[in-house]
Amino acid sequence: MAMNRPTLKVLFQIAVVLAAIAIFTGVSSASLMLRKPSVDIFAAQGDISYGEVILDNVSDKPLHIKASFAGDADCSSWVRLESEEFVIPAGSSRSLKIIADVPYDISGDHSTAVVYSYQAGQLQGPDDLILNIKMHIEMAVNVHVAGTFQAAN
Amino acid sequence: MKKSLTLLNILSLIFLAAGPVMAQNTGGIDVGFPPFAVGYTNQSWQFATFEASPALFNISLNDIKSADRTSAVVGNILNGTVPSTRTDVTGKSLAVLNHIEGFKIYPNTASSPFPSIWVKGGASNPESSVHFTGTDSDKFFQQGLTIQAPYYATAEYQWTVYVFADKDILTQTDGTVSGKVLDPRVATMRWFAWAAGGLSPDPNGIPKSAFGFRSPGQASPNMFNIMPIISNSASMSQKKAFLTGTSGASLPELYSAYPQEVGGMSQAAFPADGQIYYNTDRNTQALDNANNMAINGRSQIGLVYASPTGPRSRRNELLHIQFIVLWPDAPIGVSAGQKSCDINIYQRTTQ
Repeated sequence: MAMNRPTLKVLFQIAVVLAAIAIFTGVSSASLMLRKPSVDIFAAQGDISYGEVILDNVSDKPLHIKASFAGDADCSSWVRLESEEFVIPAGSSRSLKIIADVPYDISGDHSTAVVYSYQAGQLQGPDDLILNIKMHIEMAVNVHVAGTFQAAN
Repeated sequence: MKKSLTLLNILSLIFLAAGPVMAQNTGGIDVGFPPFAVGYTNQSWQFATFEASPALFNISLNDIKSADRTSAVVGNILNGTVPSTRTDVTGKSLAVLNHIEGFKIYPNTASSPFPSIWVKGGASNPESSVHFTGTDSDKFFQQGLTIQAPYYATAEYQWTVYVFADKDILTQTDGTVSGKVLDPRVATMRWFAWAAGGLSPDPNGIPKSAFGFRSPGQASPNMFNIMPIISNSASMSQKKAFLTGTSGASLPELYSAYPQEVGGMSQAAFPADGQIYYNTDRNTQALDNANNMAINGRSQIGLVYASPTGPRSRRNELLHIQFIVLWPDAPIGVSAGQKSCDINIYQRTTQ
């Protein structure tokens, strides 16, 4: 479709009745639910410990989730996700482990965040205009490392 | 800008809410942490989810809860800003308006936002009579789609909501990995947010709009926000830094065709010259401005809502967001071909 101003005749046809130009999927209700708003991991120096969150797909469609860290660099080098990309079938749940591989020289409280991202729908307007709706849900992760680190002399 | 903006295409209303129903503690299961749920406000002014996954350009009676249908009416009447006919709402308290089939938007025309969902209230609303006829046709209020905020069992969580896109919609200008905020005079997507309805509406959580203009003779300015853009290839950490940051990449990119930056001043001081100004009221830390959240400079352009901190953080309320795509009166280089854009809603929870 020509979009230059001299030929401004028909720009966007918003024919709301036609399914062919009006498709919106999967945004009508909450798709993802977390069983808790944050995860706490308790570990000792040198331990491998994990926290766990249950993710519920409460929609009627499979949910393709991408999980990634979006926190401070504080503990990013020794905290990892069990899986960074997965599909939860419609109406199903799955657990996701957040694993802390604690170095021996680390102690105290550390924080980061995990963001769960998924596409919630697509809105197709005129034949040349498409909007995708994406959701990102952030969850706090707190790692508590027991012990006192003492640097070598 | 020298001339009025050309409104090309009003795309969608999106109301985000996390359902309180799902936030109930059920037995031994931890309290749910529901993300956004898109739904509507029903005739009882309560949040409800749609029955299925409706086309938001064309919501039918079957898309709403069966319990709400007898109170509802659907009219396919919208034709720009003026309806082709008025919908009879006699005996109804919920009205859904769709555009007429084959509706087209031309330059220098405007359209009502959609989806357009109206709920009957107790007061008179002049805008209501434009769309409706019949008994109490003047008492309907636009609700669009509705989103409900989470309700937490404990009060130590504050939640914030941001909106961003991967590119500018009409020019298809890509966001960089560090993000950019286009000059508001050339950005082709604007958004609006408000909080209303529900048991505990929290309009104080909505920050002041970032930009606005007042046309000659206009008593008050038209306020709006523009969409911050950041590349899809950016990591979530980069996106978070861009959205929540206070300097650097979150500052506006200026458009070379204009001689100087969009000025900043208090909203009440905008002159009636049609020019776009940055609203410095947005930087005033106040209880009625993002619940006292600090907004430094022109940062956090994508901030939709910030909940209170402390005990009131556990409240739930209804949020509303409306997106508008427009073709501003500027040499922005709209290209031919298909145009796509990812609108991202980012819900943060902090302790």
